[in-house]
Amino acid sequence: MGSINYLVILQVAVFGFVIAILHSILENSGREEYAQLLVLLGVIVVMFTVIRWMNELFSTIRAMFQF
Amino acid sequence: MWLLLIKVIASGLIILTTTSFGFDMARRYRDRPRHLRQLQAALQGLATEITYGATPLPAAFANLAATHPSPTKDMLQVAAQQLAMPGNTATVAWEQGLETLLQRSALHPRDLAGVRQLGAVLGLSDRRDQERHLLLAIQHLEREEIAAEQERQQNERMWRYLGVLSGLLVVIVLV
Repeated sequence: MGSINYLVILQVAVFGFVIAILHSILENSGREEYAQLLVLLGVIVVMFTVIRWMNELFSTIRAMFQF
Repeated sequence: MWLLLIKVIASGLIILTTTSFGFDMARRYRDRPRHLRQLQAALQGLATEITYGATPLPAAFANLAATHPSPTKDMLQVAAQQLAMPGNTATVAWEQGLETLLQRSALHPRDLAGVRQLGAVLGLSDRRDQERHLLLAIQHLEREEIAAEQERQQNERMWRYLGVLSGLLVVIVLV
């Protein structure tokens, strides 16, 4: 269980890292609008990942308190 | 175990695809200034052949095709072949040559706007007039080359990184 959680955190971290690099490259080559769009896209994708895991967490908690 | 292997292979394929796409786009930006320079050199050579050698146009094309590197060489060869066919005017031959050049090089159609007009002049007017038109076309190409160089500096590295990193991004999302 623990190792899986680490993997997901790592995935989100690497995702953020790659998005950051892409953002700086796009900004350096004078395409600020695409850079902004990319960041927005990254936030949305990560948010969906996190929401999936939050959903799982709440299900676990709900199952725990059901008698 | 097999699942992991398949995942690794698929990830590799995705990254390979996007990387090659990025490098292809980068190559387009890298080749354009070079091709513009080659075309300038060819036009310069043509001006020399016309003003100093007074070479007939088919022979001039053939001579230049023998000494110039590939995309320009193809264009000159096609032009020479077209000119050798009975009934073809220099305008038609030049046009065909430019079409070949457009297909095999990284040049934009607007790069060739000045060069295209040469077709109506080559072999039809006197030396001075042809030389003037050739110089005008070369100047146009020089301006385009400066712009192309600037564009290359902005875009070449960006497309390379973009290719590799977007592949990485897709792989990370899908894993």
